[in-house]
Amino acid sequence: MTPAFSAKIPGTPSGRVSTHTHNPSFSTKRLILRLPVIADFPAYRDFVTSPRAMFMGGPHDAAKSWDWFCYDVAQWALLRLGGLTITLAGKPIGQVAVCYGPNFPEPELGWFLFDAAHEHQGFAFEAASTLRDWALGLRGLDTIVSYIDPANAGSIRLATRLGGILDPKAATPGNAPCLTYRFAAPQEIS
Amino acid sequence: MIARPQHIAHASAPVLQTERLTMRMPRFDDFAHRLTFLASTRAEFEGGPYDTLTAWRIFASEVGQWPLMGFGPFSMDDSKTGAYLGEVGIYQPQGYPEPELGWFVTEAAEGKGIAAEGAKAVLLWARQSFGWDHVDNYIDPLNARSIALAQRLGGRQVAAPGADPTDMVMRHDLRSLA
Repeated sequence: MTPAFSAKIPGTPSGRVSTHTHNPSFSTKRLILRLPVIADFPAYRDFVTSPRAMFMGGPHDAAKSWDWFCYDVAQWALLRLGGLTITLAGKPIGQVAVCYGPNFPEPELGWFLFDAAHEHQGFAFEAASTLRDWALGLRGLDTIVSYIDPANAGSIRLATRLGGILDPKAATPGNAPCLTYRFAAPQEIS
Repeated sequence: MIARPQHIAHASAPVLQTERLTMRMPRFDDFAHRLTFLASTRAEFEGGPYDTLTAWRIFASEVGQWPLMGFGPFSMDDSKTGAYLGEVGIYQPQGYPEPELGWFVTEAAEGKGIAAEGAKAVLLWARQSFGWDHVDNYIDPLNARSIALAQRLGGRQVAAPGADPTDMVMRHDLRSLA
């Protein structure tokens, strides 16, 4: 079934100025998050077409990985949010994104690292917490969520560490089992 | 074989003006029009009709070609009224041997030469921006309207690979353009 879709760009509150939407880029302690470039695609494709993409409904074929890659970038032009390549010492190691569209009931914070060798070092946390803060801060979204496969223990752990709270009442995308972790702007938690 | 540009000259669409059209970077509001088309039987030659989610994926992934490759779709507005009329652009999803010229107009804008006017502007822009000596259309052999439009624009069928083994490949020679 097709979820209802608001024909509005989410989060355009009065008074709060959104920046970093035309050429978004963030420096964290160890990482640079920047707009994807075409040279990132082989690593992205290799991930999406591998068993590591199992919690994203994968592995998928190469054509789909290209569509997704473009789609994550396009979100910046269309919705003023989207996907960023996570780079470590200039090398692409993953993606972090806040994405929206008719495929998601709400803007979604997502992350993945291309290579298992980069896991367990806090890179995904470093990237996702940066984008979470931006989305709920300068970007002006009141709330974002992460949709996570109940079997994806690693992402559940990270969502919890990021301050996500399980929201069993939230609408979920698609028909597959899915947990919704909700992040709200700090002033709205209290 | 024409190649993608080696650097991104246009991270988003420049504005092109023609006699009747203002051509620009697609925006979120355009999706409603793309959806109406892609969800209808008018999209049969593009593999449709599609559901909302697939239509969104198609629309957004095409827009994302701009920052990644420096070309992509232009949305076309009526310069006088501002009404959205359709889309013309250069597309290269995975599996396309070369960047391809494509178009779509809303049902209301059909039969008025809108796609032809937009396509001419895009061909000239592509020549000036990238120096390509040709651009091809990949067209379903049963899509008589698009074939007629390609011919009206000076396109000639060539024996080159398309997106699909059954595609008609209509080539536009750009060498005479400025």
